[in-house]
Amino acid sequence: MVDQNMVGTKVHFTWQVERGKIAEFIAATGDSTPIYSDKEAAAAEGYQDPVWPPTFTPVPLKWSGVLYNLFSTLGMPVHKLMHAEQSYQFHREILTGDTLSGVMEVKSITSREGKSGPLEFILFETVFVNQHEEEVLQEEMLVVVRS
Amino acid sequence: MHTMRQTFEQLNVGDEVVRLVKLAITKVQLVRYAGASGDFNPLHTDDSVAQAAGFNGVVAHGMLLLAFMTEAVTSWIPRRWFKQIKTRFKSVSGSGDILTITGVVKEKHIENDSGIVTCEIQIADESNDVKASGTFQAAFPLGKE
Repeated sequence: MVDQNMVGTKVHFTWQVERGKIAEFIAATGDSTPIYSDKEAAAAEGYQDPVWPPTFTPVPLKWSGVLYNLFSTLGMPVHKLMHAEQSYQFHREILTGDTLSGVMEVKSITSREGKSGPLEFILFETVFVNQHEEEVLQEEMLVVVRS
Repeated sequence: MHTMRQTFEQLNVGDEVVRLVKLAITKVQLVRYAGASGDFNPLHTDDSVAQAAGFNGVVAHGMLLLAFMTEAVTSWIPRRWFKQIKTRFKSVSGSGDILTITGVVKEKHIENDSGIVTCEIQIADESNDVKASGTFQAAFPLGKE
């Protein structure tokens, strides 16, 4: 069981938005929207640099180590986790070259009886701020721990 | 090729505005997504682990399906009009699945000089098994398209 007292736990991280990592990500998803990789295409839509793909957040959360460290702190075994829900609010554009700082918070821990035993639902909220102190993105991720 | 996008005024509740059919998911794609995202849960890349967990084979990352959904949205509207998306993962997808994303207008209203359009969105396989569904919101600039 995940300790209820962990609600409110916050972890901080920073992340530099790199072109190469975005290229690798869109090659995997097969998203050929040109503004994510092509500087001229981005410029044609009024951006100074290529743009962050909408679902790029796993890259900083996982590669920075912050997410798995938090799972470990909470005692959430990775092989028992399922992703239940995900939401994004896009406040401002994020561009290649930006330096983001983020705060990930454990918002709630709830449990209920599932078909094959108890399930625990952990809600994480992450807020991303850019180098100009502007809030750019908010995400909520609901993860289930199967028994 | 771009089909003509409707203006905010022309949109009606019930209109299907988003439709994208993705290429079949491959095991190599799941390995690439694992590397790109940093999610190395072997459920996504190792058939024996997935089978031991009760699945037929490797399971696609939920966030890969959400990437497909957002690609479908931005093939309808420009990225900067895309304001939010909320989705629930309902069933698993795997190698060989050909997934189709559809979006239908659910509500529209004017707020702060923007045309706010809320759509229902889903991603389903060829047997119409819905893998994930939810809603997204777009903000259309008014009077200049």
